[in-house]
Amino acid sequence: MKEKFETLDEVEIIQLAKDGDEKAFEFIVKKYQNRVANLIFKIIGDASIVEDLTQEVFLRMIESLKEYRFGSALYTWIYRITVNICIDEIRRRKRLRAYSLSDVLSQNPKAEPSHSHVEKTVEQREMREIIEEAISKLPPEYKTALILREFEDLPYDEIAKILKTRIGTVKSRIFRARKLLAEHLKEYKDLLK
Amino acid sequence: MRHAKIQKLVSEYIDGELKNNIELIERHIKTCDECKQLVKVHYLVNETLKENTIEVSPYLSTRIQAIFKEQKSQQNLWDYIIGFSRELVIALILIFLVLTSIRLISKETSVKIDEAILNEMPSVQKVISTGGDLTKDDVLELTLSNGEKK
Repeated sequence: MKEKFETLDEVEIIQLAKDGDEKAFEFIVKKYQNRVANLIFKIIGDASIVEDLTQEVFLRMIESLKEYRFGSALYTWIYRITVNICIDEIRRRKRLRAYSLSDVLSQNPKAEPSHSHVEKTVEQREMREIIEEAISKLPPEYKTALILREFEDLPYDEIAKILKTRIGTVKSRIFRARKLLAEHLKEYKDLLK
Repeated sequence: MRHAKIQKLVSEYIDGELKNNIELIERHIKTCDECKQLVKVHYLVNETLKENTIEVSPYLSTRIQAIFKEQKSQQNLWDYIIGFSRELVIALILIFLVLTSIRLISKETSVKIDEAILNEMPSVQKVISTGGDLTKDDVLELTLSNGEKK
């Protein structure tokens, strides 16, 4: 099966998938599943829901395959679906967090968020953890643009297509993400030396 | 050039998207700590993101196709029900239109028949036009004309 599709170009494979060829669809899923899963993992930062969301991406892709126009690359389209699903998930989580926090406060009016400051040094925590935590704190739109650039190595124009925005906005989001990260990482002086 | 503007160019330079002023930016990075930090952040983020990757289950595509088939079969049932209902409504509208048309046509025909009867009977018209006050000659004329019609 793999060999058959490897000789075809992407447009032909998509056309076959559009016509209902299950093998063609399977080929597309297998080609992109790990890329989609990792993009979700990087944006959401929670491995436990990656498979469910990856599944959702491809189910949404099958549903809207008939609407796919060959103007943009397939991965641009799949990544756009992925980013939209991730943003929905982030919003859902924010709502849940807001709800649970208000729930806790209403149950215990005296409860206040903890402000205890823990001395952080590079020796105490793994560098990767620190960077991942800093990335997770970025606003979703900055984080998504930065991940598409740094993890997927996509050029600005492709990122702009995926995020349905202007190239100028992409430049600005990536720059601001780096600035915010630099600000956050200032605490760990060894890191930025 | 303001430093904020230069920093934006540094970010573009890091991404290989800067087309002009490349040498100027390279010189600036060497002398500016803040911009050096941006470069460092890029390396750290790039390294971190690429370090920790995951792989999905090899059965994911099979699972997706199974779910899709199930959804499709449910969708087919709904499509059938919706399609049948739509056809039924169209058929009822057509029947209503046909019945209404038949009714209108038959009503119009009956009015035309009444008019025709009136036109064919001058005796009635005469009676109406004179208000019922007929002379002997009128009566004779009407009798003769009715006889002719018959």
